[in-house]
Amino acid sequence: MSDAVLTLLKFGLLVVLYGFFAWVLWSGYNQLRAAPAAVNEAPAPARFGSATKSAQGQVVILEPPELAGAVMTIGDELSIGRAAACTLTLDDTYVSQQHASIVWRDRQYLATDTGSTNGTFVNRERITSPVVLRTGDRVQIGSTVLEFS
Amino acid sequence: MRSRRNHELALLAVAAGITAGAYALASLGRTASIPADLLPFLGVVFGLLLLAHLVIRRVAPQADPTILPIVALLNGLGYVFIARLSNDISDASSLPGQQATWTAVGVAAFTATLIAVPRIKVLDKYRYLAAITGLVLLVMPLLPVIGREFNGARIWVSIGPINFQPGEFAKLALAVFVASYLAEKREILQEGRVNIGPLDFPEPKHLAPVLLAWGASLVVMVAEKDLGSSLLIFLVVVVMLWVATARFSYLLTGAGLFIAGSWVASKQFGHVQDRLDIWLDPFSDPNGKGFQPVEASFALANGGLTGTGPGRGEPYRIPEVETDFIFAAIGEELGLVGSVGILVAFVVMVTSGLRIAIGTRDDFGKLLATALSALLGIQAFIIIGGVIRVVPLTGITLPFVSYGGSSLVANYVLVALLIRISQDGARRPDIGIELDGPAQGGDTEMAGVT
Repeated sequence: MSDAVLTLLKFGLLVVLYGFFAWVLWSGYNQLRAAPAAVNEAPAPARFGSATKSAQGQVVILEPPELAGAVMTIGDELSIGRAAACTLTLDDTYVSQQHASIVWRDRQYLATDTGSTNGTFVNRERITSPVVLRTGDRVQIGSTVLEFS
Repeated sequence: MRSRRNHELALLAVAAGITAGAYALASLGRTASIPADLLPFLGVVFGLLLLAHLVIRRVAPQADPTILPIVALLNGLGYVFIARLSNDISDASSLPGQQATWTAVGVAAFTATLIAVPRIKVLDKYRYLAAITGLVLLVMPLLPVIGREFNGARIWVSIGPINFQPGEFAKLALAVFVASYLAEKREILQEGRVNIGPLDFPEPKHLAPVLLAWGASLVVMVAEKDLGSSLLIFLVVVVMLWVATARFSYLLTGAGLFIAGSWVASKQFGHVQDRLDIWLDPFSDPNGKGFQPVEASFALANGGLTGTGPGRGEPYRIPEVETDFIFAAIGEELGLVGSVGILVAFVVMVTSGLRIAIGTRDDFGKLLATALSALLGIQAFIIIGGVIRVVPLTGITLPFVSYGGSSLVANYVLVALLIRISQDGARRPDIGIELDGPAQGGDTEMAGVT
């Protein structure tokens, strides 16, 4: 077999090799894209009415999608963290043991970060001091998003 | 997800095709004839891959689809080069058969691991058993009677007719232990600071795990003369500490210990000093100590940009080419383009591993996936870097590519664990939450997690 044919076959092999990598990368890229898409497909969460006058606030889980729609009443205090002792225990690496709490004080609900490592976000802004929650506000802790009502 | 598995099957078919193509080309290059056993060869390769694929389809249907095809490609190309070299090296005629047997054992170990570990959390319970197993495996070659020394490194164990390198499996056991330990202690390790200038260092008592890893790797280096494994164990533990705590100072402390350790070692131990001398100037003794790296450099130079073509170079001139120096053989016959392809394969595999780590919710799985990816990536770096003289040469196998049974089987177990973690990450997580009951219209079932 001539050298030219062998060289061509060799080039062919190398081209297929890189084609294979391109396919693998494309496949990995698709997986990354698939994850956020799943969040958008999550069912619309239940919504509740007007502002609270007594300690009867609730939070609705918007994300992660597996828990979307679940409702928790807050009462006087809702503690959130990874510790089992919290009212709302989240098994999420980015959530600290005692992460945040929502407390009823002076006829309103305050969201407080209780010394978390990765922060607590209200309407996408990291909070440094207690923030008054209004109906529709979104509280994010790790990968969990709660809507206050 | 069925489409993930179909993707995997298609990619496996391509990997098998590339392997068979390279096999045919190597034979054409050497003897100008298509090998008579090409079709049975392709059948066996694809059969083994299909077996692994069907097991994944059954026990880990949502797992990452890119890992197994990359493994298939590396193992296949490695086999082609081992088979091709066996024709030119007089005492190597049995190697292809043995490598094929070990590949089959590896695939069997892969499927057994996937079935035996239904969830990665199961391994978390066996933390101390893993630690003890790892340490026992690590020191096994030092024991009298069963320990064996070959080519200056005491890393073999012979029990009856079976010879193996327990260190290959020790790495996995130690990775399980360290991941489990750090998953529990990482918050403690994040606290406590000793400020030195602008940097804050962990308190001395929290350095115990790094020091332990340092000690274990020193034992491997000094007593077993296995520099590559020593470096690998130490680097993986330091990387894991860094990932678990997000504290850069662990990397600095690790680097400091590493520099101190290697400086002392290079002064105290002749075998370490030899490696450094050969690295800096292999041509000072081209027919003696420097023979291997010099021949490897010639091979790479002869390969040039696209290589001589499979079967048409002279990589058999390099001693140990089928194990430590297989990368030089690929570099000679497939050139820069082909050998960069091997690098790309490892980069993609490590990327997939880290993507699996990101997608996993529990700390243990996350850290273990990171550790396994680091094991593969660092090992590939150490040996490829050694062959092309970026770092001093330390004999260690190129995962999946080099000839070597223990390494092949251990690495198949490694990727089985990665695939298991990716399946766990894709599945609905266990969230310890007490619900007041589902909301109106709310759907607490798994909502299209892909």
